[in-house]
Formats: sequence, structure tokens, C-alpha cells
Amino acid sequence: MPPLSTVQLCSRRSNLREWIHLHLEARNLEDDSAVYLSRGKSHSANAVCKFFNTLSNFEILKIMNFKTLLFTALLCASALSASPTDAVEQSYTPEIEAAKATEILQAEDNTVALRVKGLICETCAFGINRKLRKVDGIDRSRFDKGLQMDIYTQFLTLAREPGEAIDLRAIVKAVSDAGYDPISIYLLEDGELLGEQYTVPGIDTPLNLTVESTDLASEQLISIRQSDLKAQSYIAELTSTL
Amino acid sequence: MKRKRSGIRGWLVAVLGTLLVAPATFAETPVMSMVPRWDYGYGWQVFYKWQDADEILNGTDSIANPLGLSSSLHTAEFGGVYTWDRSLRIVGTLPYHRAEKTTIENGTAVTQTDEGFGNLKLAFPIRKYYNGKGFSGNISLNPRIELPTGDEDSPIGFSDGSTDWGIGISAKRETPNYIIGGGITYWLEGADNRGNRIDADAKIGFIPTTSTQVTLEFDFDHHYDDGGSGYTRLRGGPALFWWIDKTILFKVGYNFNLYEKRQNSSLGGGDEFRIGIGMAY
Repeated sequence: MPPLSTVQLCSRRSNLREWIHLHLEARNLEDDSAVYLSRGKSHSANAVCKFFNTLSNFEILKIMNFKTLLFTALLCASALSASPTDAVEQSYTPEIEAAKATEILQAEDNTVALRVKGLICETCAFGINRKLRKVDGIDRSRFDKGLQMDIYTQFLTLAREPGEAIDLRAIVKAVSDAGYDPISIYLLEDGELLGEQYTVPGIDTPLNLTVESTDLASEQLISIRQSDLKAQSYIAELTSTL
Repeated sequence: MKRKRSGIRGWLVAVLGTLLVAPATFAETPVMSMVPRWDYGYGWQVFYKWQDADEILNGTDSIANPLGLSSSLHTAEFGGVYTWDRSLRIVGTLPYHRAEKTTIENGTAVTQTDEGFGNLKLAFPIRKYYNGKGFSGNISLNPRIELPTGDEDSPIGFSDGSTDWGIGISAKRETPNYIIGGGITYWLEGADNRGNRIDADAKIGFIPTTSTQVTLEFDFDHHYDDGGSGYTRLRGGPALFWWIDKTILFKVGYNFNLYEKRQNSSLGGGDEFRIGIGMAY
């Protein structure tokens, strides 16, 4: 049975058919009805299925032609375009964001939470680590050198040195310099959530922290897309605490 | 003052990276397209590519190869990047080839081997990053130049001795779950006897974990040439990216030769295996 090169298999369907035909003959797979034509002969769907079952994953990959690859790519694109992340984003009202910030800040003492647009890859965000090196007041013994990122909610949490002042403006500037857009910043003072949400992200926005409300109206909860598993679990958690 | 020192250090690293290392096709730096995305960032990458061909193509048809003509090309490719500003950067790549080629001379098959540097490619992408809730991306305008640093007299043909100019555009979008991107470059060939060419690439993939990406990548080359050496080629295949840590990225991929058309009968390009590592700071 002459093996065909990958080039031949991928570039010409006729050769692929010939190759399949030769394998079918070599493996004694019999025909019963004519559904697959090659080299003037026919093979049944059953025989073709049996043939593919005898292939390894690598062999299957080798015989994928361009159209198959393109189809797979388009399929992936359409499936991924409806990713849960988009649903999460659509469900993030300012109130939910503030409630989420409260949850983060209550879970870890002495922290500052920022919501950052574009924070979708922990490793790509190395620039944030780099730019925050010069900011004083960050406890680098906690988290990952003082930082914790959640790319699914786009929250960045910074550990504060207990009892030390921290320059919030410098933090916002560092995140911005790293190539991302901070859209809000939160911290807890005496159990009260202080924060600021930026309509237009930018370092020039004055940091006038105000008390944020975390109360959620029931209609706001209903408006959140139920298809979003992350939001669903979060809603359940919030509802139980309201 | 601190910024200036950082800039000089970055320059040195970028220049050293560019001169010491190197890739062969260059539609987009494969490892460092999303990073560095900050001012005074720098990085380098090393790629190894391996491509064999033993098929004679006449147009798209494979014809008999009784003399066993073949080619084998191994390329080590070093690249460097430096960002003055996150929207303005320089990227350079320099390949080092080791090749073996069996061709017909006076009616008999002759095998020749050679090794040496290929052409230095520089790009000056003007890049706009954009951030959204749940996604990030960039679009670039990419002026390019290919300098004839390769040996013009090499029997394998590492360089045609001319300076080529290119202009391209590229775009990329990424979420925590998927990645999609692509680019296209039009090259003006400096040599009088060669036609211009188009390079394009596209990729789509998903992100199974925060430190890995699995993608399908496609490369398209079209070389206009009425003299007989023109060709059209589409390659594609899977690639795996793995962030070893926040600054080191590893990539391995395999490109199948999906379509190839040669103007005259000549060796086909064959499949390509590539593996590389890059760092950005």
C-alpha cells in the first residue's frame, strides 16, 4: 500500500479518495451499498466508517483538507463568539460591580479592588506587575507579588501594607500605563465601601471616593441573563444575603 | 531620568536580540503580538523551523520525480521587539538557514548544502490597543523592510541581493475564552527580475487555561512572477501556546501545505514544523 505524503492528502481530494480506497482494500472492508466512489469503485458508508475507526487521531488530522479545516475554524468562531464572558459583561450593572467589589474586599483584609477593561489574560498583564513595582504601600508577600487577577470578572485586587498609606492615583496611573483601562476602584473603610466608577477611564479623573450602594433591586436581578452561569451563581449568593 | 535608563537598556536588548536571533515568514511576530503593550517594553524570541519537500509540482499537479529532487530547510530565527510607546515599536527578525537541495544540473541530480544568514526583516508597527469589558485587541499599520543580509551567491538562494519594502495591516482580538487575528502585507520586490508578493496570516483559537492557547493558524503567500518562479501557497495547522510564566511564552505548531500552485514545474514547499520561545519585559 503506497503511503501518500501529507501534501498530497491535503491538497487533492482525488488522491485522498485513492488513499482511502487502498486502505479499504488492504483492510478487507467489504462494500454493501454504493455511497462512496473512488477510482471507479464504490464503498458503503459502513465500510468508510469502519475505515475511519481504524485511523489514529494523527492520521485523521493528516487527511483533513482545507475545506474541513476552514469549516472547523468557522465553527469554533461561531461557538466562541457566544462565550460566557460576554454574558458576564452584559450582566455587570454598577450595583453588581460594587457588590462584587465588596465581596472581594471582605474576603481579603487590607486590599484595594479595581475593575480593569481589557484585563483578559493574566500573562499578558505582566505590564501591570511591572508598572506597579514603583508604587509604595503594596504588600508583595501576599497574592502574586501583591496582585491577584480575575480575568473573567476583570477585577484586579492589590494587597495593601497594613497601616501604610497607598497612593490610589498612582495605582490607577500604573494600570493605565500598562496598557489597560481602569474603570473603577474600591476599598473598604470601617466596613463601608468607598469607590469610584469612571465613565471615561483615565488617570486625570479626580479620585473622589464616595460611598457606594450595594443594594440590588429585584428587577435588576431579573434582568441579568440567566444563561450566564457565573452570574447565576453570583446572583444566588447575593439573593441569599439580601 | 529613570525612564531614559530603562529605554537605553531596552534598546540594547532589542538590538542584540535582533542581531543574534531570527523567523522565515513574517506576517506577524508569532510570539509577541499582544505583549509588550506598555511603554519601554522589550522582548526577544527564538524560533526553529523545519521544512522538507520532495514533490514536483506543475501548477497544482504532482508529477513524477524519478531523480529524487528534494529540499530540506532548517531555520533558526531570532527576533527582537522594543516599544518606545505602546503604540510605536520596532520589530526585527534574522534567520539563519541550513539547507540541502537536490536539483538537476546537466541532466543529473546534484545535491548541494549550504548554511548562512538570510535577510533581516524589520517592521515598525503603529499599533492601537483597545480594551473593552471582556475583551482586548489591537489594530496595526505595519511598514516593513527586508534588507539583503543573506548570501546572494548561495546555491540555495538565501537572498536575491535586493531591498524589499512592505506595507501591511493586522488586527487581533482576545477574550478570556478565545482569540482571533490576522494580517496582510504587500511587498514591493527590489530585484528587477522578481515580481511583488503578498503575505497574509490568520489565526483563531480558544484558551483552555489561563496559561495556554490552542489555535488554528493559516499562512498565505502569493508571489507574482511572470518569469516562472511565481507561486501561490496556503498552509495551515494547529499551534499550541504555553505561558511558562508571565514573561516566557513557548509555542509549537505544525503547518500542513494545504494548497500550492507553481508557475513552472518545481519542488513544492512541503509541511512545516515550528517551535519557539519568547520573552517580554
